[in-house]
Order: sequence, then structure tokens, then C-alpha cells
Amino acid sequence: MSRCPVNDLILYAYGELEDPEREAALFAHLRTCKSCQEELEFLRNLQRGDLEEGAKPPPVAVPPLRAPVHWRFHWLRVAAGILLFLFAAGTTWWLTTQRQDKSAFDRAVQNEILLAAQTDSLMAALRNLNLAFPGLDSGSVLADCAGTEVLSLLGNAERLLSDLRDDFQAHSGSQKEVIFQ
Amino acid sequence: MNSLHQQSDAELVRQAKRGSTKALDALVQRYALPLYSFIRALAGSSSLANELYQETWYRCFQALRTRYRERGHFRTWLFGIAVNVVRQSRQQSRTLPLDEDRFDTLVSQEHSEDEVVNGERKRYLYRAIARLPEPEREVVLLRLQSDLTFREIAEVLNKPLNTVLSHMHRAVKRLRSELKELA
Ligand SMILES: [Zn+2]
Repeated sequence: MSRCPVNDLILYAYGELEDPEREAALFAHLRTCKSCQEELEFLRNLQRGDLEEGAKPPPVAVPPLRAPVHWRFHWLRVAAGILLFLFAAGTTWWLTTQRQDKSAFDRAVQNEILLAAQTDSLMAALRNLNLAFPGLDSGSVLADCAGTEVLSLLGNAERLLSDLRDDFQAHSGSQKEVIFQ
Repeated sequence: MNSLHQQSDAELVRQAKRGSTKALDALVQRYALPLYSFIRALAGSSSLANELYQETWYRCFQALRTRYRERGHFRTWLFGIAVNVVRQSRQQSRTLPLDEDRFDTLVSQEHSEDEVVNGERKRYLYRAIARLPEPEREVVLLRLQSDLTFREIAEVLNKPLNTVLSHMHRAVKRLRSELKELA
């Protein structure tokens, strides 16, 4: 008689023997082994509610493992943090782009001035301006005008020059004020 | 409520950890009977069993709150706590488990005619189980009382499956010879 497959016998009795080959081997053994037959019978009897009792478990107080309120506050804090960050980042971004736009505008105007300066009429105007107002930084004067009427001023450079001359004769005070009038 | 009872242990644990007492209660309801009857059979007296049962859940809640991570199965983890709680209580008072008379109280008060013989057999069986060496008694009760599979018992007791099965085999041998004497 081969050695009794006691472990497989126990697993089989409780429906836990999942290997069909081992099950077949167990059946073959059971046909020849009285001891294993008896043990299987005993195991099956043991299963039949032998130990079932009407024991009533006492009630258990179930605590919250984590206060839901805290949980909500936690996420509120995180959400508030994210909103604050977005707000700050957005404001910074907006301010920077605004500044960039402004300087871009200034640069564009200056480019226009440069472009216009390449024309002879304006060069002549500037030359004449410098002649008319000794010590005048004509470049900065034009830059100050940028964004206001400089383009139209440039368009009428020749006329401007004569006007300036006339005005300078009339008011020999602040040169800039003269130009902006 | 129904939907909670249909959910897996893992899902209930997840909800309980998020603060749902309903999910935690569903878990307690699910394991109340198998856990309590296991502890009661191991502990002997019902007053001690009540205490150890509460202690087991208390430790379970504490661990869920802090260090429980989804590794094995909740059910084997829970019974592992129970085994430790009972073992620790035994170390504190050594006379406990072998006081067989305590098992008399486990026999239900069924006095119907046909049940008397069965009741007598149960009484003997409980006494025989109470006399089993501790490792064998734990395996027998986890299998018969709590309906854990042998693979789950191996997980609970942190022993190889074959060791668990030989405990069962030895226990069955002892119980058979004891009950033979009865017959
Ligand atoms: Zn055999």
C-alpha cells in the first residue's frame, strides 16, 4: 500500500483540492485504503455543522476611522491653495504681458520713427530741429512723442519744422512744451 | 445598505478608511459571527471571549486608521489579529484554555428529543478540541468554526500550507480516537 496522501485527503474533504491529477491519485488510493476512507468520512462529519452554535457576537461600537469633516476641510484647503496659486500666477502673467505689450508698442513706434527717419525729409527736419533748438536731444523728443501724434507729426515734418521755428521765436521757454503744442 | 453588503472587503476597507462608518459596520457585520465563534471556542468563557472579540476589533480599527495597507486579504489579516489577541491573553493567564468545563457553556440549550445525542457528541467534540495542542486547535477552529480555507489559515498563522495540513491531520487523528471512546 502506497503512503497515504493525507494532505490531499484533507484538502479534498473540504473541496480545496484543485489539481485533477492529484484528485485521481487520491481516488485510486481511497479504493484500497480503509484508514483513509474512515478519515474522509470523519472529516465530512466534522464539516456538518458540528461546531455551529447559536453564539451571539456582542455589538461592536464602530468609530469613524477618519472624520469626514476633516477630510472635506482638507480638500477645501487644497482647493483654496490651488485657486490662490492660479490667481497669483494669472495676475503675474497678465501684468508681464501688459508690460511686454507696452514695450512692444513702444518698440513698434520707435521702429516707425526709425523708418521715417530714413526718409530725407525727416532727416532734414531733425537736422533743422537741432539747428533750431541747440542742445535739443531730438531722438528723445521724438520718443516722448511716441504713441501720441508722432506719426502724424512725421507726416507733416516739414510743416512742423516751420511751425516750431515760428513758435520758438515766439516762446523761447521750454522747448518740449513748444513742440507738443 | 444592500449594495454595501454586496461589496468586496477591499472596497469596504477603502470606504471605511475614508471615514464611512457604514462601510466599517458592514465589515463588522460580515465577520462578526465567524470571528466571534472562533474566539469564543479558543478562549473558552464567553465573558473572556467578549473581551477578546472587542479587543480584536479595536486593534483592527487602530491598524486600519494608521498602518493597514492592502497586501493580503482583509479576512486573513483580521483572523491573524484574533489569533494574536488570544495568544497574548493566554500568556497572561495560563490556566485559561485547558479549563474544559468552560466548553460546556458552548453547547446550545437545544433539548429537543433527537438532538440530545447530537448535543452529547458536540459536548465531547468540544472537550476533545479543547484538549488539542494549541497549533492544532487553532487550525481546527479556523476551518470548522470560521470556515476559512486551509490556504487562508496558512496566511493567518503565517505557516506553510503543508504544516497547516499536518496540524489538521494530527488533530483529526486525536479527535477520532477520543470520539471512538465515546461510541
Ligand atoms: Zn491511506
